[in-house]
Amino acid sequence: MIRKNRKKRLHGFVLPAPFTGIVVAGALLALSYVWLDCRCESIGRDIKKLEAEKVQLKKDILSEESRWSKMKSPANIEAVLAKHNIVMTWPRQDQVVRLYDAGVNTDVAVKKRNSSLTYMKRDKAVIHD
Amino acid sequence: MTDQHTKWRFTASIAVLLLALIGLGVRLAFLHLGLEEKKRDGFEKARSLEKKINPGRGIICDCKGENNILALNLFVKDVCADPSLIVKSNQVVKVASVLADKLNLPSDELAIRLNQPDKRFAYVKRMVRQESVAELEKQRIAGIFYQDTTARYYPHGSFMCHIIGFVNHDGIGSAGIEQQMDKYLRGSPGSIESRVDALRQELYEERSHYIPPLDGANVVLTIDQNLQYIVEKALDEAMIQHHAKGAWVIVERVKTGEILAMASRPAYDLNEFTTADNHVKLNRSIGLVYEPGSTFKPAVIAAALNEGTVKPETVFHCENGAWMYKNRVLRDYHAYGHLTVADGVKKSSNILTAKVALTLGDKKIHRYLSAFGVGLKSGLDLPGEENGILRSPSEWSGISATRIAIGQGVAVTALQMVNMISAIANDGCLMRPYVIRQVQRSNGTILVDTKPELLAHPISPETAAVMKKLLARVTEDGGTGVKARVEGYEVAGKTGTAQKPVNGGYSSTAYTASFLGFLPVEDPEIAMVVVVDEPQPVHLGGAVAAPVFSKIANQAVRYLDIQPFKDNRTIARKNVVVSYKNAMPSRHLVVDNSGMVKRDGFQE
Repeated sequence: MIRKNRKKRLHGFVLPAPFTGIVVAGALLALSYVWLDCRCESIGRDIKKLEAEKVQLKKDILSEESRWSKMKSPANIEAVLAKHNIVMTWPRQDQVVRLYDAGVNTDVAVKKRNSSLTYMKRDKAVIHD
Repeated sequence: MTDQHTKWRFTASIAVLLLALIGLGVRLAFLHLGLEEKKRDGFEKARSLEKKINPGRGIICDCKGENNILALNLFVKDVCADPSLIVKSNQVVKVASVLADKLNLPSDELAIRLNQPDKRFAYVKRMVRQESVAELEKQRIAGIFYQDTTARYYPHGSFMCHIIGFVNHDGIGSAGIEQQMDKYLRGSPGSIESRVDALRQELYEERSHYIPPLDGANVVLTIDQNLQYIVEKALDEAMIQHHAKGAWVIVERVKTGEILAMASRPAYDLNEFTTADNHVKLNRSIGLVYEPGSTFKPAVIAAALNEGTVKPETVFHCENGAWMYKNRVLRDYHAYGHLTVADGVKKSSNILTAKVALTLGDKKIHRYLSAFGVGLKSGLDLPGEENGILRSPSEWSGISATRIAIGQGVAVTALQMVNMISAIANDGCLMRPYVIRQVQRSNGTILVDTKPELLAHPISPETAAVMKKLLARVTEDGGTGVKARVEGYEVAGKTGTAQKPVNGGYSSTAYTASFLGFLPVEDPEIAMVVVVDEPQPVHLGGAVAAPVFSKIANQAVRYLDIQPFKDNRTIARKNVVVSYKNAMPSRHLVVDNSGMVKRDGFQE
């Protein structure tokens, strides 16, 4: 009695190559679609998160700005200084020194200063000697 | 177990599975093929998100821009309650006491509000700052929840309240800059159409439509908050010192018409505007008309000088204090005999000014006053400006000109007065006053950029120069405005003490004390009006308003770095005569050791 060659019979179920190719390509396409969809979803979640963060930061900035504005208001500064017994007053007219171009030749001034420094150095040098 | 039995069990399982699948399929078909449209719509509605996104309201800041914010939108929370749930859990007293403690509310009142078993919603407190709510949120009190919202917030409370104004509960600007610039500050809303997941979180990839909101533009004022503080502080002190009913001040930059400070008393907290009365909310500087009294005289004298009907040295007889004209007596505060126009201004003689007015005639007086902006809105970019009252000459009686000349029978706003004196200080150029410097978007786009605008040229530069000299004499020894002096600077101005009109006559107890002036005389930088309403017991402008002027001006010149003397002048500091390039003839100034400017007077 001749035994059936089972291995040989299995060859009959092999899918045709083009069909397999289409199936594999379809599967790949489906997988890439799923992957892209997941990626989009994940980026969407990130964007939402960043949007929420931006809103929160905006809230925080406004809150801080309001506090800062309040803190440096003239009334508050005066009150804080008063707590430290500091009273600020404007200078009297005769205490105001206005800067203006006195017409001094700066080159000459620098030379003068440098030469006086040299003399000082020399003097010191003499003392040290 | 037999093979038959197994087969039967397998078939039964398959049948059950198929039945379940068919059931689900039928259900799915019902839901999706419009068989239960209502439910389908319900699901759609539950999953879809369509909402308007409110824009942020722009900020208001002083002349330094975003460094000094005066009004901004804050994200706050409304603390809400579900009273029925709280009543069911029998926690009314406990919840009320916790909330009252954290939110600074009366516990008893809150307990009554929460003890309503039929109610599903009640506000506990609206617009609470996030820091205050954070602790409450951690406690997770059953029946208490929080809604995000935005609120207009004014960090400085009552500071600059009459200029900034406020936004009502519907988010609409209802006073001051908030009202005037509402269309810029408000911005435009955005919208979103998307879908949400089971937790009502938006699915970004399902977003089909999104228009971002355009935040409101920022408004930059011409007001300087430091100068404004100086003004408000001086006003508060004056209110207390003189037991006044009200007081207001405007500081204007002479050459441009920029308002540097504007304050009015009484004031109110902008964050609690609902509790303030309307009379407190009134910006008296522009919205209240008053009889200006003697501060009005410069307009008439300037008109007469400009027309050439009088000169500074023209002499008038001042009738020794009482002048009968058309059967009505006009009196001076002090009796004078002969006075020159220059001295009449210095001593504020009513009779002299009335006689000067008669040299002009009704029509010319009216024309000049109108040219100075009396009886007309100045065009200030703030709501609520009054016209004032200046009747047409056809309605004047025989004595109207003599009374209007001394500031009676005419009603003005403080803004009109400061504009008038600015015109004199500004070589006769009347500028449009403004408080809004710029409106700009946060990206830097400038929407509004206000430039100085010339309104009229009521008097010639020569007349203005003479008027400056005449008004400078008011603050000299013997003048009525000595107390308006500022050390090291020449101040020009005019005092005013006006009886308040009552029942067709004038009150003998209620006065309006004012001072109107500018400095430095040679090259005016700032003009200022100070008005004190019903000061008690002293009521003279020179004693009540002039010191307030001096106090503010003293600090303002230092803050604004206004130089006391022009560079092109020869100045000797030790009791020597100072000669001016453009000085009037025969007139000299003496500067003593202290830096005070003294005059040797006019030589008529």
